[in-house]
Amino acid sequence: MSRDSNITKIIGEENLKKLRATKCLLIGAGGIGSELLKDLILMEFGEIHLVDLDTIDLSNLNRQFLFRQRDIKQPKSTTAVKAVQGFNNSKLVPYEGNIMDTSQFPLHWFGEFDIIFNALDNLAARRYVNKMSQFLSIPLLESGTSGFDGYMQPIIPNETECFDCTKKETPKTFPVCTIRSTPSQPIHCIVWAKNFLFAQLFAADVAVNNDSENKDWGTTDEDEIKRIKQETNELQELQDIILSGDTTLIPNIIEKIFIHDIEKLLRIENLWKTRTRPTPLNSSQITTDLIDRNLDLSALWPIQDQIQKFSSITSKLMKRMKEEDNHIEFDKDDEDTLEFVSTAANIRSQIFNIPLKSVFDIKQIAGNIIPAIATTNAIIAGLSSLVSLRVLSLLDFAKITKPTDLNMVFTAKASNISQNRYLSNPTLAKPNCNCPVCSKVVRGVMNIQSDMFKHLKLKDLIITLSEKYNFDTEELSILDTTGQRLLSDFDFDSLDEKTLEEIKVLPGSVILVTDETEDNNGMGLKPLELYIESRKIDSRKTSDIELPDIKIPFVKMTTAEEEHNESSTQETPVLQTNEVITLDMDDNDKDIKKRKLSDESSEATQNKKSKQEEDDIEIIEEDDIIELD
Amino acid sequence: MSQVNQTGKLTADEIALYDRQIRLWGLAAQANMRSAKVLLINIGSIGTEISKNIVLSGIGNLCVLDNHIVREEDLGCQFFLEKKDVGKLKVDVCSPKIKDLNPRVNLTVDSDSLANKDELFFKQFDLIVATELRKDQITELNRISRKLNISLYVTGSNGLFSYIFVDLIEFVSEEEKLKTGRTTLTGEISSNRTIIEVDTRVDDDDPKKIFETIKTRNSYKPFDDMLQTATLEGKLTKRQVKRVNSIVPLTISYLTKIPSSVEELHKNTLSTCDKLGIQSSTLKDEYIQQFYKQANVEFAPVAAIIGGAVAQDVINILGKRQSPLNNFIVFDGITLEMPIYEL
Amino acid sequence: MSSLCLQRLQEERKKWRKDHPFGFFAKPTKKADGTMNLQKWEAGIPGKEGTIWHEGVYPLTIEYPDEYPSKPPKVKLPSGFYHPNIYPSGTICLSILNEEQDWRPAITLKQICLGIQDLLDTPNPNSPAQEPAWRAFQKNKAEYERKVLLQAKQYTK
Repeated sequence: MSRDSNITKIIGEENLKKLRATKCLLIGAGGIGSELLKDLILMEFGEIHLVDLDTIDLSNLNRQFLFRQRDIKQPKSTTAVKAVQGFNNSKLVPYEGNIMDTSQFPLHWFGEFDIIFNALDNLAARRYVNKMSQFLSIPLLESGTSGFDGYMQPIIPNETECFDCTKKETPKTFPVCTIRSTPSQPIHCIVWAKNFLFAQLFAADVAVNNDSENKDWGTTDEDEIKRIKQETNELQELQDIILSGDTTLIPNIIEKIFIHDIEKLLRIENLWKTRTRPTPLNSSQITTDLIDRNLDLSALWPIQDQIQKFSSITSKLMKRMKEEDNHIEFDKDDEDTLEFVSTAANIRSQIFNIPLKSVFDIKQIAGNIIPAIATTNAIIAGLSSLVSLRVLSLLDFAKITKPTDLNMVFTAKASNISQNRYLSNPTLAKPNCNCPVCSKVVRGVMNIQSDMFKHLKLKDLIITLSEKYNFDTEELSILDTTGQRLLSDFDFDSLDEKTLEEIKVLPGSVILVTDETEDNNGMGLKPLELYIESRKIDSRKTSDIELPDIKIPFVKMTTAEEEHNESSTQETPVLQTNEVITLDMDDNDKDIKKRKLSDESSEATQNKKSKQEEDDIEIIEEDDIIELD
Repeated sequence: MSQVNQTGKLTADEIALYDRQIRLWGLAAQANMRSAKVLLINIGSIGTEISKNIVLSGIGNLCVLDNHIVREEDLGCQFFLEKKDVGKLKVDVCSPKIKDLNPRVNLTVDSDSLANKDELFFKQFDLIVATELRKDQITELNRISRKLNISLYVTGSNGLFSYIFVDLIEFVSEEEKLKTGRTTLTGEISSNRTIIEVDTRVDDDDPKKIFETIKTRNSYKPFDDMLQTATLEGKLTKRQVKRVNSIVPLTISYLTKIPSSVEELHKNTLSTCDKLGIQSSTLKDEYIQQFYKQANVEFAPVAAIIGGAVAQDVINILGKRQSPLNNFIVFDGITLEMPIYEL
Repeated sequence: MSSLCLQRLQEERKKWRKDHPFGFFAKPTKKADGTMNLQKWEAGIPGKEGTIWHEGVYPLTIEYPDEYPSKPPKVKLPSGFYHPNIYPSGTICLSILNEEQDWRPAITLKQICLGIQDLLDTPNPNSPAQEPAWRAFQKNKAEYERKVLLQAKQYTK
């Protein structure tokens, strides 16, 4: 028996040949990526191209089984490829780079692959790859995990739901009022400490003082100007202390933010009619002890230790400011910044009668750390590689008659959704007719001769487009989707005479072209999205711009407003925040679903209405990723 | 279970290494795992996956028992093995590779035959995971595990299909979940599970959130009993009965008696359907054909899924988190269905 | 940024072009490269006739996050703006601009602008955002009105 005898028993010799000729793209060599690489190799995929931009970190080693302590700081893609050499039988091509980098990975490069496996950790890249798969109609196997939760979704362009057909949950934000004046949970204080206090003191652009002297304050009343100045930059005096490097002034900082500012809030009586009043620190609690001591990061420190640590860490950061060009960014792995944020948040929590947290816990919240384990990644990667056999039509005895026969999967037992199934496996849904990516635009590739970017003007492009697709030049708007740049529209033509190169419309740019004309019935042309590729100079070609032969549909223009109103009536109630939903454990017939996503780094969770039989309950989970004002 | 609770504190290095999972199951569970002693019987494709997962997660002690020699076809489904290893003892090849995954784990290997092992040997362990065994081997192992009060997981490959059998004898699990709507009541919730206690706790951070801590007693059956008495009658609704995956009766039938032909498999499975209380019309012909063809075939992606599920459950019960699997799970690699039945 | 965000912003521009309230203006800002930035707009809100605010047209900046329209835009008046519900930094404390409160993806730029115009003359004393204007509004109306009128002159039409 030989190495491939097992796979032959499953898919047969003919299909094994096809598999050996299959070229796949694997994006991500992290938690899911390491697992997928192993699975795809053992399945005898012919060629596997592996892309990752990241380097290996200690906290990866609990699950990314191809990496060792000795590999820390090495690039993931090349290290992974080296690590699998012992059992590899495929052609492997590693790339270090960002998949969204159009110069390294132009559209035609994606076009070389038969199938794409996403093993990504962020929403932006997922959306980008989804769009590339839509441009090229290449099947995409999307996946993600977060702790015990995971999902895997095959995407067959134009046939099944794409990644953007369902709304993705985004990081939670908090009302500015809650953060600044009336915190009631630890997270409010952490957001305040990180995004307001730390950002203002250490990461703000240093204000140029002279500027404020000449500013027109709209009044000549001295007191009034003083007030405005004070209010405008609440933390100016604190910034000055930090920049002065005079650590004997640290008690003044504590006094201002933990006593005076709180007293000021107390004076606004309306805030405390229905809330517990905060208790400012007592000035006797302020310490001048600046010695930095080692404390247990997973323990809860008493308030005096918090204040002492806050003082000593502030002193440390003040010294660092001098060496670091007066600018330090918050980084969860920079212990000084983490301890500053932790102690500041905890002191504020104490003041507002909110429970304190350990540095270990605060690191997770402030650093948007998403738990990640080997098992969930292994399961999801296994499912993704397994379903590829059906996507590629390599299981003769289980041929799909239509792409919507394929199954997607999310964890059910581990996610506490069901006690009688380990996985939920709904069949795929058709594309959502309101999807901004796969339904609301038509798509194509525009080839421009490589030497023409510096000669062609935006106006030339507008004319060529209008001639080809019968657009009304006056009503045409052109948007560069990378950078959200509006290049031209009814009220904006000052760039029309510029060359494509001057306005940075270059190979890899994706432009959105819309004729805004609408008839009396609200009908108009669908927007056109064009990927710009550069074409080699070819004297036989007569035109500098080659546009795709697409018939642009004339459709009813629904406004976003109408869509949201529609969907709000259709949708099942949606829960905000970290909730897992109603488990009807005793009702076996209820199929309860959930989709949650996001994985190892920041980024968001997805929720999606799954379609499987009747009893749908929609569940949304949200990671507490924070954002403020 | 002879759980030694050396909750010696984790070092700062360990906390940093296991950071992303401690955030999921907490420091106490991680410390519990460090004191656990696990026996893995047979390191095939699923065994490889299980060893990888539990070693990465920081299990304290692992022993691998396997007397097989590396064969050429193993190379296509077991990532520890290389071409040059063909003909060597599997445990000798795998041992340094497992060790390298996480040097903190105390690993021992044993190339003795399972049949030679007595109670004294098994007594050392808190938990046994056995893969790719025959019925008689499972039955004997289960007899010992019951006698010594050791948790047992059994799993095996059939190409695109696979199964997991669990016998934790009796296990009280404690789970915490957000209360939504109605209060959970104590009492029997299924044939093998009874809720014995429910406590509520208000979240420290957000007083609007109320958590329920639910203690559930899970009872189990020995493997032999399960094969003999397995039934779905009264456990499923009519609609569910109609939709029972063919892999369920096929797996049970194959575990009960290895058929010598596909016709025999068909015949045996029809009587299994009868016993289970499901209609024989649910049995799909292509599944019978494929199951027979793929029986005992190891396949990497399926091993990854099953190995992941078993390892996760092992970690959960060692860390005493989440309710454990109970007690028979099958996986269908075509539809990706993975139902859990209390048989 | 999502396609949804981009398509929606383009639609906001189209909609504003077709229909916007008298005396208001709103348009995307220019980037350094001369293109228009659809994610950052400038607008002018006239004070309502017959109120102490009527003499001014108050400049707004509107920043749309990548997650718009799931998330609301960040809307600011100039820093130091005198109003009980405006933070010292200029950030506006208004329920339709808060994700956890009344923000809905269907809310348009026009509705936001009208909402802010309303807020100017009808402050909500229960959501104070700065002490001086709040205190004066509660305890010393004459002082409050004097300062509002003074400020209106600064932003005169």
